[in-house]
Amino acid sequence: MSAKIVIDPVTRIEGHMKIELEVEGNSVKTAKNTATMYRGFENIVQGRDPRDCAPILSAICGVCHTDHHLNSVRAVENASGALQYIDGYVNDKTDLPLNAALNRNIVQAANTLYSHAAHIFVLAGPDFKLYGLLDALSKSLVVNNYADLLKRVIIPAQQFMHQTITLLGGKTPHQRGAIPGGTPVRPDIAVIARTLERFRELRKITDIAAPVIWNFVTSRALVLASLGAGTGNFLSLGMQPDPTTSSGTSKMPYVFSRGVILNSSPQKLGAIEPFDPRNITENVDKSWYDQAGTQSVFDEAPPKPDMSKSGAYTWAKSPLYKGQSCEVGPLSRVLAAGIYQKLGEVIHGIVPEVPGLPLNPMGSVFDRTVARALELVALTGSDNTTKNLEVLGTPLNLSLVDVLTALGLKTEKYNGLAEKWILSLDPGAPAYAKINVPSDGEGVGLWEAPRGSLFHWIRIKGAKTDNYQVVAPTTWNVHPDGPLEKALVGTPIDKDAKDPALGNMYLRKVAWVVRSFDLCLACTVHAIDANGSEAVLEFP
Amino acid sequence: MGKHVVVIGVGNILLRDDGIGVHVVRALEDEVATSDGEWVSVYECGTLGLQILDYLDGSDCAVIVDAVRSGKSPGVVSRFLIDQSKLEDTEELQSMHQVGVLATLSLGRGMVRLPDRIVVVGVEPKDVSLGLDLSDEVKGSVQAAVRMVLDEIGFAQ
Repeated sequence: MSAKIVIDPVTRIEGHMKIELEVEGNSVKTAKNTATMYRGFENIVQGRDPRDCAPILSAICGVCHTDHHLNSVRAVENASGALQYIDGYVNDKTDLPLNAALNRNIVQAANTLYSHAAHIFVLAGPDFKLYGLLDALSKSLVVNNYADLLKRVIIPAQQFMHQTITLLGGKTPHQRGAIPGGTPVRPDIAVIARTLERFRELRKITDIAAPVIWNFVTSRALVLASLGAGTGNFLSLGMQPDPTTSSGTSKMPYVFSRGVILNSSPQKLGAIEPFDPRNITENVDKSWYDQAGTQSVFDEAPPKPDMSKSGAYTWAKSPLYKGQSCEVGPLSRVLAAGIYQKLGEVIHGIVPEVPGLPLNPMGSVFDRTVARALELVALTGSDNTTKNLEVLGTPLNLSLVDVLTALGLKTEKYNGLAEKWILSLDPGAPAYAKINVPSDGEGVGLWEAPRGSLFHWIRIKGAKTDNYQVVAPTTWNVHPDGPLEKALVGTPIDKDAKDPALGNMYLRKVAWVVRSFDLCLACTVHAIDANGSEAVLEFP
Repeated sequence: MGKHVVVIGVGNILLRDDGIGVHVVRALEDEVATSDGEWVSVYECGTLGLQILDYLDGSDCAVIVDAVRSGKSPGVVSRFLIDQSKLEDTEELQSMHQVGVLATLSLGRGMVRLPDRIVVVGVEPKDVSLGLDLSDEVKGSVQAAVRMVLDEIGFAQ
């Protein structure tokens, strides 16, 4: 006998989603997730000046606004030749000044940290009873209850990062500072100092919170690693290109490299291979669009909505790489960069029972959560030298500073990646170089938003936007037969299960799996009819 | 320098009467003049949520105009003085969106300098379904709410 559980809407994610679970015995047998909103932004930009696409497309999302904006600018720069993907898409070459490249890295770091803080504390935090933060912090800070935690930790963390984007991009949300060619405002000493101060304030918070979260998650490593195995395919379009090597902006290697991992097994992670955008296709067989089959993301005719299509159940299309469903997000980034595996080697050297990282080569709640926290600390840096990190309750005799130093993310010159870019800014020097947007051409934007790979593509004809394509991160994770559906299958559901620290466990494991992907379905247009039920707008 | 008074209209104008606060501050634009010894700032804050704290920070008196359900007839305009000592600590946030006015004020204590006097001018809504226009009852109360805000501003100075 199977039973059906429908969760609609799924709360504490960004955007709107429904999940249908077929439960047999004490676990999930099949899962279907539905993106309940339609996105039509590509239709809006057609016929407009290519430079207008960024401010329009940034409205796709209220969290990754800055990433949509920057990546649209990058697509236009790529069309103009100012941005080139070189060495088989491994490195970037840009004609923009050093300050422009650095500005974008800092803004990307700030928005990633903003988003990760929101997810770790507000969205996923309650599923873990906030990792025991309240108990831990009450001993060291003026934090006595959840309201204090919000006021002194959670909201300031987000506030500092929004202020940073405003300092460098003019406003938040939806910064307007980035234009094709860079940004018109030169960074001066005051802006540099204030930006640095914001990250250092954030560091005070993460230095206290990160070890508590790490110790909580690693104390439950075995159960969390057994939950949420995905497709075992991981994609990263590259985060934080480094313009400070001896090659400068003419060859920028990525700190979080661009790359793809395919065909992992539960025992072994697949090999890292170079990325090529021509391998991306989209399938719409199970999506509410009037087309069928698989086509290239380049020059795809925009599909029309069709909710009457038989067998379809979602607005999400299925983006595929070499025909395969890939997971995107922090875990994919730290895996493609090899940083996570390196952390695993460090831990294995101290606690031999830990075989290495990832704990689950197919992906898991544990690995996704730790990867996100790792990015948080890698970007922010740390001053915490207390050797308080544990794994499975065993002391590692390592501090946050030790971990960052071992990973090469803290050196004598800089502390965390954001600081590296800020200290490399050249005060008073230009952050903009004039580039010519071509009347005819095409360009690709490859970028990583906090939640994963963001792909933009533009075709320009007669100086106007002729066609546009956005493939957003969560589409990779929630499409039909994709990573999330796969991750849910087999998740234990036990009505009577209790946990001494967490209480009722009935659907908690499902919640852990779903939220481990840090979903964001906002990349759409939403329609509600007057009776409060879902409706579809008529598109001519 | 006189006292700094901040008037804030909140609500979602896409949900008919829920947007009354915004409609009232738009009507106020024509009424509020600035001269020596007066300093009144009027903000249309819509659904900003937590971010209204930025506008309240450091002011001496605040008037928040919003739709308020108190069981009276649609369109009735009421005035409430917020007793900040009785604001309860916020429970767990389920989202950073749609944080209500009281939860926002509660969070604001200890984060920003809230004005000593915070008054809510509330209008009883009739219809908060999807739509841009106000119900007739609530539309008929816009001027009464404007008068009440002006009274309150006078009181503050």
